[in-house]
Amino acid sequence: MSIDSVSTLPQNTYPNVRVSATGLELWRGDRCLFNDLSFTLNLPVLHVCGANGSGKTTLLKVLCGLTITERGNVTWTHDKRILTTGEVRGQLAYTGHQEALNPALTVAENLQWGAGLYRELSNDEIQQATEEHQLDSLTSLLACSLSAGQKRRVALLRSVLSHVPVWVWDEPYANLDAAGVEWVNALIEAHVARGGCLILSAHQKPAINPEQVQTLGLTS
Amino acid sequence: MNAFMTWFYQMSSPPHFYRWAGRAIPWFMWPALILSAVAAYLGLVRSPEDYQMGHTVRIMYVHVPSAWLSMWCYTSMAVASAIGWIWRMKLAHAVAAAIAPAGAALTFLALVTGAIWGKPTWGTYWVWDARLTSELVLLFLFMGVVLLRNAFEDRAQGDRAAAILAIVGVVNVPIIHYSVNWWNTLHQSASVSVAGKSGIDSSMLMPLLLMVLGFTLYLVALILMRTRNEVLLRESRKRWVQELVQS
Amino acid sequence: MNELSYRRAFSLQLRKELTQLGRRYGSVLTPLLFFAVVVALFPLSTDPSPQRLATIASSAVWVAALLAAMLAQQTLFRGDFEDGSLQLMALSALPLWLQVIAKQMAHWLVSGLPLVLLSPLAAYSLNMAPQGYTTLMVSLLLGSLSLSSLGAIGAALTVSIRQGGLLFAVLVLPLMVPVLILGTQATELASKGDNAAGLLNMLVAICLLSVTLSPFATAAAIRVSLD
Repeated sequence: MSIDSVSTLPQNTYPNVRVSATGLELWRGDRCLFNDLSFTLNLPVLHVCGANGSGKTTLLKVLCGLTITERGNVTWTHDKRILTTGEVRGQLAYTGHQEALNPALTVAENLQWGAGLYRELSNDEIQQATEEHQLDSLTSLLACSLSAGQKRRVALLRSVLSHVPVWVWDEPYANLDAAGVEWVNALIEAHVARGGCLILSAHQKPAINPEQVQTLGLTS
Repeated sequence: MNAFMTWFYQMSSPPHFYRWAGRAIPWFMWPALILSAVAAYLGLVRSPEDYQMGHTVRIMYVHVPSAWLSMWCYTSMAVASAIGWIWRMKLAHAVAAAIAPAGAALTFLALVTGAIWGKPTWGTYWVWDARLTSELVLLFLFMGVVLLRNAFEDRAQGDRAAAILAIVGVVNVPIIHYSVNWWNTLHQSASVSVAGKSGIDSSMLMPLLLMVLGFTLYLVALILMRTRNEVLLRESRKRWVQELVQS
Repeated sequence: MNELSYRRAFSLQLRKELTQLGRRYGSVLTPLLFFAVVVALFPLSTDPSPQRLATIASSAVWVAALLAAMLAQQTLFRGDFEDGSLQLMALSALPLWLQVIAKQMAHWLVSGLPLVLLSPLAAYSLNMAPQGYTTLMVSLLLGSLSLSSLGAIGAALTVSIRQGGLLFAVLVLPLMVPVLILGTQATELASKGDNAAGLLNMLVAICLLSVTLSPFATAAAIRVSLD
């Protein structure tokens, strides 16, 4: 799949939204997840890596504003202008460990709801998007009947449909087959080509243009 | 105002508070003990028997202060929680965490002394009297805050959850209080409140007020001591605590 | 944030919840069944003569309804917390408190409202005077709305706690004391043929207070639980 073929993404380019963190400190009980963690994201993709339990998920939640740190600040900027918490929320699509798919709703209904949190979208648009990403056979199935890999794909497609500049993906490659991994990489490249920003946690470095990827290693 | 704000900011620093509280505790504890001893002497030995209740009236010197202070405890816990929530001040959460069990204990004391007082007065340990019922609901509210805080493994999370509950609770406390009072007047049968209706003699009022003051000072000292412990627990990985432990 | 997105936040969440609940009719039936079972326990645990039952009718119906509504409310956010939807809701630009109201409303429609509609039947079985039925329904309507909002706070606070169900009940029930007192007294008065309008007005006040203020506390509690 080539970059231009991802027509599900908006045609125009995204605003230049970036994130930086200074002096983050977070403890879970007596365990220090990170202490004095600072970084500035200059490239479109931030790849957070580290061993299990090193706090990748927590860092992602901190960047989104879900988790509060004991010290330190996370700053989101749009062309040097600092964004407020409310502004950040409208710019950011999060896909966590859990896919946020309601088991009693169909895939189409789940997408309608999840992407609907960001913008108004029609049924046709969802149908078109699922066809384009070869998920149209799933649209009328209940989410509880999907396999883990299919759930992942649907959840990632939701980020694509939300048309926001920042995607935050926790372990996007988990449970995906080789074709799925390729699909994710194509999505990332298409998003970056439109000026989007991606923060992801993964064990291996995503196989995309390395000049666009900044790696942040966490040690426990 | 400025001086107060400076004091407030200094106090929000845990090591500063820890040292200040350590020095302040005796200034509350000693007057508390002396006042309570004097009040106990005046109340138990010097003041006359009640013409209706005889010696049993003397339990009032424990019951009334604990009942008053239990309400005060809930309000101050909610205020501390609100401060902790709004200004993200850990020390305020530590104060709220220190107050909750103390308040629950006082409420329990008020209930038990009320029941003991009830036996000779009403002929039974428990009647659904307005005050006792209010105290009972208050005990449930206190226990709820304590249990909720303990249910979280993460201390900061437990603090914030308990803060929400305390604030919601304090909005409800007056509504609960008035509704219970009103319910009680509808069904007034056995519960004739004695101390409230008949005017209280000065020979009883004096020791009662002294006792209330003594209880209050003791409670403040207790809360300061408990807050110091809470601060140590919350700051256990900070250097100043580790230095303190080693020295 | 304009008016349109407020309306969208509300309808989006309401539609999702109603669809979801509609597919699991157990969520509608279980509280009703629970209500019926608890009501049946009262005559079984006392002398079931009509005169005696009439004296406990209003309190039995109210307590049973309170417990049933609470049971339904307890899992309000559980599913969304477990599948991660709650994170999405909290991170969305749409106001969380409004999404909370929509969710509460949907759950109240399928679990609170049927209880209100069923209550005269329960009251009849306990030999309550028919003149009290209207007041019983109105007071339960107000009470269940109030419980639905106060319960949402408790549900949000305990959602991340394993086995938080019992804790939820312990936190919420004491807060329901005023509603219970006013509701049962109003029903009692009305079934004796007295005017209960004053008490119902007080219930309206409590209901409005809890319905308007609690979504903000619930939204704050959700953010705490997601931490």
